[in-house]
Amino acid sequence: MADLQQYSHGAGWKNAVLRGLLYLVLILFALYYLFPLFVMVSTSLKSLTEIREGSLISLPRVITFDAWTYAWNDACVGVTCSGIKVYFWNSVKMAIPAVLISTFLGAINGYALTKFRFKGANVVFALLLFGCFIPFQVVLLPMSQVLGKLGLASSTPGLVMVHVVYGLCFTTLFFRNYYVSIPDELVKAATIDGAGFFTIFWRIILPISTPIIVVSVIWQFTQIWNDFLFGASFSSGDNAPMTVALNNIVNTTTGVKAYNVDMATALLTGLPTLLVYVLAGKYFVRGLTAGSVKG
Amino acid sequence: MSSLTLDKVRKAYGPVEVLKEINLAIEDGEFLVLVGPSGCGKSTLLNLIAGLESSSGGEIRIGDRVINDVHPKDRNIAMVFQSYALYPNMTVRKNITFGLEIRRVSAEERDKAVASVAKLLQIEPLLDRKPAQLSGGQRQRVAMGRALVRNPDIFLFDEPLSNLDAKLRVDMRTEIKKLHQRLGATIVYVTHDQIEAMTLASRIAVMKDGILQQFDTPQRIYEHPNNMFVAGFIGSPSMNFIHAKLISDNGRLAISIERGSNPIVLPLKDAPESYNAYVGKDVVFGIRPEGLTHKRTGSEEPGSQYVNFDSKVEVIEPTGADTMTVIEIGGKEIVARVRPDRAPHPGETMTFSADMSQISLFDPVTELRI
Amino acid sequence: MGASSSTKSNLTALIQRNLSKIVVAPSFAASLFFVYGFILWTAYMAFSDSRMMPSYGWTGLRQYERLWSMERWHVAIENLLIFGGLFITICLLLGCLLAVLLDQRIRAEGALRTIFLYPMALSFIVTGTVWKWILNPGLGLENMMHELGWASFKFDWLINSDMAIYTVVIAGVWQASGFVMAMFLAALRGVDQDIIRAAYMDGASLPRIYFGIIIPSIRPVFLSAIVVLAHLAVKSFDLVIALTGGGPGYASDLPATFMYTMAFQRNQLGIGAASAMMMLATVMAIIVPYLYSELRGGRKNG
Ligand SMILES: Nc1ncnc2c1ncn2[C@@H]1O[C@H](COP(=O)(O)OP(=O)(O)O)[C@@H](O)[C@H]1O
Ligand SMILES: [Mg+2]
Repeated sequence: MADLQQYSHGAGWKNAVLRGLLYLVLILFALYYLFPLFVMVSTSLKSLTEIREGSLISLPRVITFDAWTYAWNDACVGVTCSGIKVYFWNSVKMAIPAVLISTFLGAINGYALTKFRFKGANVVFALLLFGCFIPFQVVLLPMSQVLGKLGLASSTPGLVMVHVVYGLCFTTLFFRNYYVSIPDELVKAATIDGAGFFTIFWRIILPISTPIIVVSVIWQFTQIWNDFLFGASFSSGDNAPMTVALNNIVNTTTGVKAYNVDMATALLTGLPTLLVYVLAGKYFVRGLTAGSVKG
Repeated sequence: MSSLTLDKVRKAYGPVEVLKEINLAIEDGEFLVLVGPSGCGKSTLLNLIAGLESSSGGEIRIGDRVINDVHPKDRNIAMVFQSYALYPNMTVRKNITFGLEIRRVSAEERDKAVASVAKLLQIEPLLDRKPAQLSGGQRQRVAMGRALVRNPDIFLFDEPLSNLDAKLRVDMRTEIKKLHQRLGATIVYVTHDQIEAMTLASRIAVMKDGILQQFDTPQRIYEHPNNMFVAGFIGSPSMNFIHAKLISDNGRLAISIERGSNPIVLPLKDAPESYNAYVGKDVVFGIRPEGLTHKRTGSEEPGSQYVNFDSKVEVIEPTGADTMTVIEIGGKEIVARVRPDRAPHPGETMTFSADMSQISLFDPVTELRI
Repeated sequence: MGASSSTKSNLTALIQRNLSKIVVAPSFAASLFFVYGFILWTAYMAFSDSRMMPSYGWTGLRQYERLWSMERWHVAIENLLIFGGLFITICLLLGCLLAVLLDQRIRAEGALRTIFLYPMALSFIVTGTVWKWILNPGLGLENMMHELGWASFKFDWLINSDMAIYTVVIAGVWQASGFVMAMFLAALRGVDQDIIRAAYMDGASLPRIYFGIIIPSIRPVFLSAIVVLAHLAVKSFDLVIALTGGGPGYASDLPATFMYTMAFQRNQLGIGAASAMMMLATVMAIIVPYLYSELRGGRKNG
């Protein structure tokens, strides 16, 4: 920490004013970042009439959860009006297997690439890593062909496959960087003790990987849950994930614009990842900065 | 039989030769210490013996069995690492028995084995702790326990003491020595600390840049170093090297060290044949600090091994037992070891005795012993 | 019999020795096919006469010519420059400012950090949806200002062709600036305290310490942040879709939305592929030199 307060002695009142100003600025910024969340919550709790009469920042006079129940049970996505819940479960069914598979593959790749290095391991890693950086537009067209050929077009398994394939590079990166900092001697000791490749992985390496597993799971979960591009390109109708459904609801042009339902749906969409963030923020940040900040 | 033989063993990483034709052979029950500066290939050699790396050439044998292509787990060796490499997720007990468990030793026998090792190493109270809850010295013991429990043919130690503080290091050193005497096991021990090498080894292998410099008993290495590197590396403070000339002084060989108009001439005691070829040529005169001391009684008698000369004292460094006295000869600073009660003051001129029975001469170009 | 059992054990030994490669192989193969193979496939499509369905008649640079002759593509490129430039600059300034402010032994630092960063956990679709509502010309910010007594306040950027792209900047900055803050804060915490103390002993003032010593010493993080942000900007798709839908008309199109529209709505697969290749080229121009220097630097350190 640039621990500069210890240096700022003397001129007590000037200092106090400066610090007051500092806190004021920070609080204003905090309000700026919180404002959309506040708007979302308060709008979702208002009735439509109140929304039309009131203003963005006014608190709901009467709190009603109608918009929430409507969004969950009855909102229309395209022609089907059975609420967002279907799509919520679609997202769950897509995210859980995709997160687990890609994390597991990343772990074993990272282990193999660091602890049982073979000739060309670095090249393999570099080639895998490249996949993290491509704009996915460049794979959309071939992927839709391949999914069609595999009979996975517009299906949850298809989306799972897509997310595993393009999540692999990130999970491999996470685990590789974590495992390079684990001393090789641990593997050497276990080898002399007679343990083989998989025994070492299961009995020694995985049990000490908890932090990076958390990072990887959180990263993959937020990426997959929040994805829109793949969802919009490779799903349709009742198979769509939640982000696609949200966008559909918001952009429906028929009927009265129900802003409170939009906001409730948006909140429902954002809630899982927000929850993860609040519960495990530290690991979330580590995932974000992995690879972009050294060390 | 757990003798160990290395026959022309080489190791290269791509174009970089890390080990060049190492030949070593030790008997069952010997304590071999590999010593050399950091990066000279000691760990690599140990890893080859363990089977953690494969050699690029040559043959490694335990007893009569060639083990080049034998998997580490089938070599019946155990290894203690510098970082101890304890499994962080397992208790001490689990750490020690992991290898047995993998080898399908019954739970009953494992318990027995742990109990006896824990007793031997006095780690019984620690058995249910995790490595993170142990001090450095305790971890070291656990790492040794993990090796001992398997009752291997050969123990391999890779700088096992260098992560301990100085006091603990000395204690553990003694304990390893005791353990060796008690078990009679064959040990290969890597260190960069020449004192550890001297105190522990039955034989020492000195290495530099992947080349074996000398392989001999500690005393031989100390008294007859093969070259200037070994001479300088073993012994503390280091051997003094002085550029000199080998002359024939009335039919007797002597060392002549230039000093203005008044050279120091030190007649040799029993010059071996090999010196004759160097008469009249430049040599490097090597003498250990303890060979250079205050004037000895009897040094003036004819035929004495001691030769006296006068020199001005530059600096003194008391160490308690002895006082290191720095003098300048032939443009180089030289350390003499003087008894504290005979210690001079800086700036004084004093008479020193050189013990000519304990000297070495080296070729200034090849740096090899003459 | 002996021979067959020995071949069998040879095989097991071979597998054992190559387990590491075997384990990585599926991922590597997937990457070769789904990343490199698909890039080549798309590259080929861009040279083909594909329209509604992929077709593999070779037409050379025809699709690229058509792409670059489209007014809409030029708008998308221009928008990318505006959006990318502003998004990166503002995020950097804001992130850096917030990091320095938070670095002053703030009491509720943890809470503030959480607040600044939470947008990053949200989907761009959620962000787009809420900002679309906030910036709603009738009922949003404009209405709020009127209620507050600022009757002449007008804010119609969402439906204004000239300004729509700036709404994307607003929402994008809101979402990503906290991330930049987190990167900078981590870097600030990594600066050697002794250097700062030494500077203080030399009588340097607080701003001078920051501008003269701390910020220059975290220069690599600026580079990382720029690369990450540029990468985000080029890939931005969801935000535009949710916020403006690329509109009004195609006034706020970005290459990402352009590609999607061509490929999936306009039956112009060839043009879609060509624009995707342009996007890839842009990202590569940013990422490859960066990765190269990072990896080379990494080797030096390690
Ligand atoms: N995997 C490797 N690839 C290339 N060079 C290596 C590798 N491992 C060790 N070396 C090199 O081999 C030399 C000997 O290393 P090492 O045996 O660890 O030395 P020591 O244990 O004596 O300090 C060093 O110069 C080191 O850089
Ligand atoms: Mg070593």
